[in-house]
Amino acid sequence: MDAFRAAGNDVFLVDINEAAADVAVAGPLAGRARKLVSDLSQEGAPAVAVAAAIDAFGGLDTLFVNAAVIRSAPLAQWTREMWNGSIALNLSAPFFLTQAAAPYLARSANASIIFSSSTGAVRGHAGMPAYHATKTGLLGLCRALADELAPQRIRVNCIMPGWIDTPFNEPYWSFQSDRQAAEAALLRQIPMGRQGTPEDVAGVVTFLASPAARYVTGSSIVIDGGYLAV
Amino acid sequence: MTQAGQALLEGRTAFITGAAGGIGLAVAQAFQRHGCNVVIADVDGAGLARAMATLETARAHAVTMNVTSEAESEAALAATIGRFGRVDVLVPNAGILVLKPALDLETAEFRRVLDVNLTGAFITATTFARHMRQNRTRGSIIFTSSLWGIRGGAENAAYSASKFGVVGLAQCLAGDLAADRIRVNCVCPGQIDTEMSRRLLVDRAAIRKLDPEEVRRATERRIPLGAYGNVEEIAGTYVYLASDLSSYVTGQSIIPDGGWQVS
Repeated sequence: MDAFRAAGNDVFLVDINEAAADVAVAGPLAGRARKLVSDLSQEGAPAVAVAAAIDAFGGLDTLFVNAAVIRSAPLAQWTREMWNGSIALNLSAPFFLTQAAAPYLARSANASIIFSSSTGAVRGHAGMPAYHATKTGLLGLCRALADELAPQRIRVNCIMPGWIDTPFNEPYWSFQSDRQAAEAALLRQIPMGRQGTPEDVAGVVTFLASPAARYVTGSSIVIDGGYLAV
Repeated sequence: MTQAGQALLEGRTAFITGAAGGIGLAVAQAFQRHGCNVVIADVDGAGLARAMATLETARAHAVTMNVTSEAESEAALAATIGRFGRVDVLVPNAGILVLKPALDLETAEFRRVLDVNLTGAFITATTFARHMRQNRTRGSIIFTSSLWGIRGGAENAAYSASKFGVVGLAQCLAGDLAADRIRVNCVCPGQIDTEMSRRLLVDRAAIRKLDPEEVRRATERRIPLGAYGNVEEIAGTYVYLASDLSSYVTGQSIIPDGGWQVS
């Protein structure tokens, strides 16, 4: 969000966490920022969010769908509510946001949709079946939408971040029996020897949103310090 | 939108092979627009002279060389360092294509394609990476593979084998060089409008006894974005991989193919 605004773009943020959203839109950057507090997993919320963005800024060039949830529990303890909640936010919201945004994106000269998938789309971890299933689902959703929206010159791509050091991964770390050992073992598996930062991810998102990527669609870019490649 | 007017490669120097035309030259031009010095290399000296005329010569240098020669690669490195004092970005891009049904392909032709496209890329990359390591340059190496480096197709055995090899080479080098903070990635362009792809159309039409225009239209219908890419569109991907925007991206392939793979 900061990277987009620093480059002079207006950003409409949709988040369920009001306090965090207030902080995120407060920074004095070149582009304007507005926010909507919404739970995108609820029916109808994606269409409301897109309408609010159009109200705020009059148009849309980039749709970046990043909101997601990781839930972790042993297989026997998963309930239908936990499973459906993960699907609703991680997979249904990107679809319905795209459906609502497509008519506006079609009017942009540089329309781009970017989904946050994950290297978890091609890996699996015990206790997190819904997360991995939805992140793999996004790759298929992205390809189908890329084909359908190409005639309107709307590009659709995924980013696949690997281990990025944010609180989002807490459910994974807290599921590990020896957290410190697990972290050290992970770093040994990453050729670049470190976890990624949010800024490492922002660079890739701004690339996919920019005209520099204008022949890239239906594709996914892995941001993992070499984790999957070796 | 986001990168308008923003120079992403200010003060860096790039070395690009196969840069007398096509994607290589477009990459050199795009790098220059982002503030980068460029050394363009090609086996075609006359083509290089024409290419130089399209660049800002104060920040460009041309080297005529054959990428399959280790000695010429060493000389090209020396020329690059002599002219600009450093090298930050390396684009092993030189490639040739022989389009023939596999059973008609002679072993010598197959070896020749692998020699230029794969062994040549290895020689360029290792020669320059040694210098990057010695000088602790946090460099970026960007190989030109191809959509045919991740999938196969009739009549393309030699080229496709070489480009699959380039993807593997890039992933292994990403592992070898990660501790030096040198990132290594591939670009896998799809159907791009270049002299190489135009010749491919003619060769393919001749093999299949079709009209080249018919082959071109059939190819375009297969691309969701509806047209061949142009080299300027591809160059943006190289700028991105050369820049700090991709600071945590290594061992990857990026596929500007207009959506070819999805449908």
